[in-house]
Amino acid sequence: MSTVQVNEIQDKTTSFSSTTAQLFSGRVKVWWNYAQRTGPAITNSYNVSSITDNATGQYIVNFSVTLDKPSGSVSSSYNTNAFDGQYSDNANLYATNTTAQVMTPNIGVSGAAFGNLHDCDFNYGVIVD
Amino acid sequence: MSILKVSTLKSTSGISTSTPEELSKGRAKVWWNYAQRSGPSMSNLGIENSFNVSSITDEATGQYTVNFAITCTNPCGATSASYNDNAFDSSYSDVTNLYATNTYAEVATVNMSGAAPTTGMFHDCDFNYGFILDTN
Repeated sequence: MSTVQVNEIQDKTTSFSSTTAQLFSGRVKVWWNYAQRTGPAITNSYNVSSITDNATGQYIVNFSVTLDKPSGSVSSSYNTNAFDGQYSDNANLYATNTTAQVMTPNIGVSGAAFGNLHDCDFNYGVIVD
Repeated sequence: MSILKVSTLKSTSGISTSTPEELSKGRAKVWWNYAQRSGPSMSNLGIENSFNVSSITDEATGQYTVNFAITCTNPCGATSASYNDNAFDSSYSDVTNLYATNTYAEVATVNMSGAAPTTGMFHDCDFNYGFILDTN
């Protein structure tokens, strides 16, 4: 294994630069693309050991790393048409050091009644720390 | 201070490569974990954790402003929230609005579920998350 220890990384024109501290704090530590409705299955992920299908419209992302005090964001789409006005998919996030709880209520007019939980085909999340 | 000037960073296996431009544009410039509500599960009311945040102003119920410690150019980002430490609590469906400027982000948290406050009204949340990307 080779390790380069530097304070800052720049391109040769110096147009773009990042300190190692900025890279460490700014890079995404965990992310996922999860299909709860048509799976459930993890489509793609980074630093995710597993995702638990907790209940309709509820899932838990188990991290393969231990974080400190994470932040992040989640989004979702019921199907392959995010413009489908029948479904307006809200997503709640509560992140701990090792897991993220996500809930997806539908606040559109189809399927689950307004405010009730429903599974989505596309669940996205990113976690920073 | 040491500065490494390169065109591409590559892992020894050659699988993972990043240019300095990709690293700069791809990393979060600002992020926060903010407790606006004083819930029983909270260890600290206020900023739990953050990066490049100078302060967060509690504007009103369900409204806060994140003041950046840096100046962005054309920021982009996303926010999420949970009313309490149970994201599965179906009494609360926390919609978040985000408006980001170069120096601050305004966030509103609206409950769209059946518990107080009335559906569509602002409410404070224990856990407010957000991150900001930028071109520079």
